[in-house]
Amino acid sequence: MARDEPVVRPARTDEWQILAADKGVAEDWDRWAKQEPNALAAAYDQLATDPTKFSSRQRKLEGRAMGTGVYEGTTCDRWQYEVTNGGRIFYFVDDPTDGGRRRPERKGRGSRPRRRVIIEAVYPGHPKETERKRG
Amino acid sequence: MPKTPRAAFGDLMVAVLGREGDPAREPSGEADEAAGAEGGFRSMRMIPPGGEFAPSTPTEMRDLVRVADQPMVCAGSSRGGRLAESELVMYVCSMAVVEHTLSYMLRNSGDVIAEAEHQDVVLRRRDGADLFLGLHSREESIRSALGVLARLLVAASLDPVTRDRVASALVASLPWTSFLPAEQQAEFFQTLTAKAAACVELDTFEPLARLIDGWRSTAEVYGVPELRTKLEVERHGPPVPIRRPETS
Repeated sequence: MARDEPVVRPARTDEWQILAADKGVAEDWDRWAKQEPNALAAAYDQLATDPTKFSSRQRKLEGRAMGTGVYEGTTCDRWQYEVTNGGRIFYFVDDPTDGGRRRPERKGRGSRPRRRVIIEAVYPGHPKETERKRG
Repeated sequence: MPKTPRAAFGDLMVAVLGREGDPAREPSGEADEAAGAEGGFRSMRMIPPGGEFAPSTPTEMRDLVRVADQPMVCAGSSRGGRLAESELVMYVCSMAVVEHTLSYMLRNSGDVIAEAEHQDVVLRRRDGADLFLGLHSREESIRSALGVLARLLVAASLDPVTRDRVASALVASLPWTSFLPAEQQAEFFQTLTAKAAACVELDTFEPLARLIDGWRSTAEVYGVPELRTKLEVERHGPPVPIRRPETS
């Protein structure tokens, strides 16, 4: 690892692990994070703490087509977090504890599966007129 | 500001029953006459809280619940008895609210409580969700009215003619549903009535408001092609840990 490269903060065991669905999504996240660090940090903290809380920012998408998605063979609920006016994070909630009702089984000798938030896509929205002018 | 469950539900019932003077819902000929006779709704009149009609007794509620399969009787109406032209008098008006910051409330509690006697007060907070101050009796009357409306929605969904009319009128009354594909509009109405039935049983309407909010967000995805395209991409991983941005 390069000397100045930032490290990923390890998630506490009571927190949700925040992951990008693939490398492309992680790059999109990093790009947006440079523009809106405070808003995305707030989003990160909220998703790590309580990704299934209903609020004016957090909503579960509905319907057979959009309400769920499949990731790594698991069907997960699809949620959205409104970061800014027009900017959104779409994420899957992968909870092997089934809302704390069961203890997930270890796979082999590894640790127990964690509760995960999979960022499926980020959408910064359209830049405001003033932001476009700034380039 | 997000809609309160009662405001969201008020919108919904306007969608289901039509608004007074709404040309899309006014009788316009023989077809409407027939639909009215079979339980379709002609119009809805809104009355503010404290107005001439507020369903409060089981009898009144039961009378309203039967509207989908019988000529309507509205015991609490000033006209009383059977209503001509299957007009439904309903209490869905959301009350004006006054807003203060929580710190203002803490400094001027007497004034704010005096205000709450007459209208609901929303207390804005920087560090958390807004609070709500109002009379318990007023809240209870609104909840019981919501219960009547939810039962009405369930009753309406049981009648095939009414259900089809409502489903086809959704776009006119809730314009955002126009972004949903046709089969999704049908699914929206189906889940809505099922959730309304569950909410009536539990006497809580927050899940219904959440469902409507969720469908509204889903409609937004369909309405913005870039969003929809992003969600149609299949992600095969592998998952990559992401960094929490450093805040300034």
